[in-house]
Amino acid sequence: MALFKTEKKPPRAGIAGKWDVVIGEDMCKACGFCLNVCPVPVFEYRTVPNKLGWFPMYVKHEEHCIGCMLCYQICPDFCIDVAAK
Amino acid sequence: MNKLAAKYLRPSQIPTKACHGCGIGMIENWLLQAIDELGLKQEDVIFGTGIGCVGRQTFATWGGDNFGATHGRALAVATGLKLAQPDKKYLIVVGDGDAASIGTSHLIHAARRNLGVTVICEDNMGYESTGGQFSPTTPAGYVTNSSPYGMVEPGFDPCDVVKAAGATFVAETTATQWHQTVKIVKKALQNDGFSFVHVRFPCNENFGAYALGTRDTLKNLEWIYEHTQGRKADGSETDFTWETGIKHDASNSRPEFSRLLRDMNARVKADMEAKRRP
Ligand SMILES: Cc1ncc(C[n+]2csc(CCOP(=O)(O)OP(=O)(O)O)c2C)c(N)n1
Ligand code: SF4
Ligand code: SF4
Ligand code: SF4
Ligand SMILES: [Mg+2]
Repeated sequence: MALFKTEKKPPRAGIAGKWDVVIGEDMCKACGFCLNVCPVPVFEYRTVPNKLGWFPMYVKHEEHCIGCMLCYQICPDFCIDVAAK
Repeated sequence: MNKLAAKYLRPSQIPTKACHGCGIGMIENWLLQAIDELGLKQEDVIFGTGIGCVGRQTFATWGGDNFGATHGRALAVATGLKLAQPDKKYLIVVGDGDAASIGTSHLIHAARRNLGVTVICEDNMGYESTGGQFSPTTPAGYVTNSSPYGMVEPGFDPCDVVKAAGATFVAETTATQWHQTVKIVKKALQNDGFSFVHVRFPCNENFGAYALGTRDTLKNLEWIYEHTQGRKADGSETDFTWETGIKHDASNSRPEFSRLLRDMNARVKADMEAKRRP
């Protein structure tokens, strides 16, 4: 099994939607880890660069988050917080 | 900034100068989790580094006291500090070149003395800040900037060396083992003695570019994951597998160095005092 999951499915209703996902977009270096480790379609790249010059990640579909914390553990730049609503 | 980084780190140093997708920040995030779960405060921990990417990217990020030593000498400075301030916890975050090459002698003797510090050896399998030369932990056969035909020397396992030298806690993890790393670092910090944690992590810019032929952040971390599991995504076996986990746990089994020295100091003082009396 690979670490990164390229195919995402929206989660079953009931599990998702209970989490706040926050990204410090000004600190993001666009490594892509959060987007690719997340089991569901939550993240997306912005099309405008941040002040570091990267096209940062943003939280597009917070409602799909299942609170697995993988994105929080894998972010190398301390950008992400996930907390129960 | 995540909550733990806001609680413990120095905002002026974040974001660090590390390349995107570099494992150094990931590991630091897990160190913060271990520190937080142990209920330690900024003033309880002294954070020391050496030279190299691991030193440069973590230097002065810690919100409490920091020091940056010359290459390979972080443990020499830590020894003096530990003697002066024995009740602090010491996190010594150094590279593979720093700990296992230029600083090996300090490493061995700090382990032998059971100096009460926790060394986190963050291993990107080469001298990456100087352009990606091989180090004693580069896997055999792999191409680096200074081994264009493959690493010809046999590798070197710093865990075996510190264990043989007398370290009381020795463990190994990789940059795809977040829970294990947090658990292990907590145990390491609870040992009143020499703890050594070896963590392999991806360097996309140099190791990745030379050895794996790609700077793709995802491919580099996936490579670490595969060699942690011993299996590739397609189910086939990898060329080698790292044996991770706790390698040796004799925590709190023998006296810590600064304690021994202070006890001796007290004995000698008492002795001199007794002799001085008429
Ligand atoms: C005494 C001394 N010798 C050599 C150097 C040059 N130098 C700087 S970083 C480095 C290698 C660092 O390798 P490592 O400790 O693995 O750190 P990395 O950059 O890979 O994180 C060397 C040899 C130096 N700064 N000081
Ligand atoms: S916590 Fe898990 S599900 Fe939620 S955004 Fe992060 S990786 Fe995706
Ligand atoms: S893991 Fe962190 S640095 Fe990487 S893209 Fe996501 S938010 Fe940005
Ligand atoms: S050169 Fe390698 S180890 Fe150094 S900051 Fe960049 S990715 Fe990290
Ligand atoms: Mg190195």
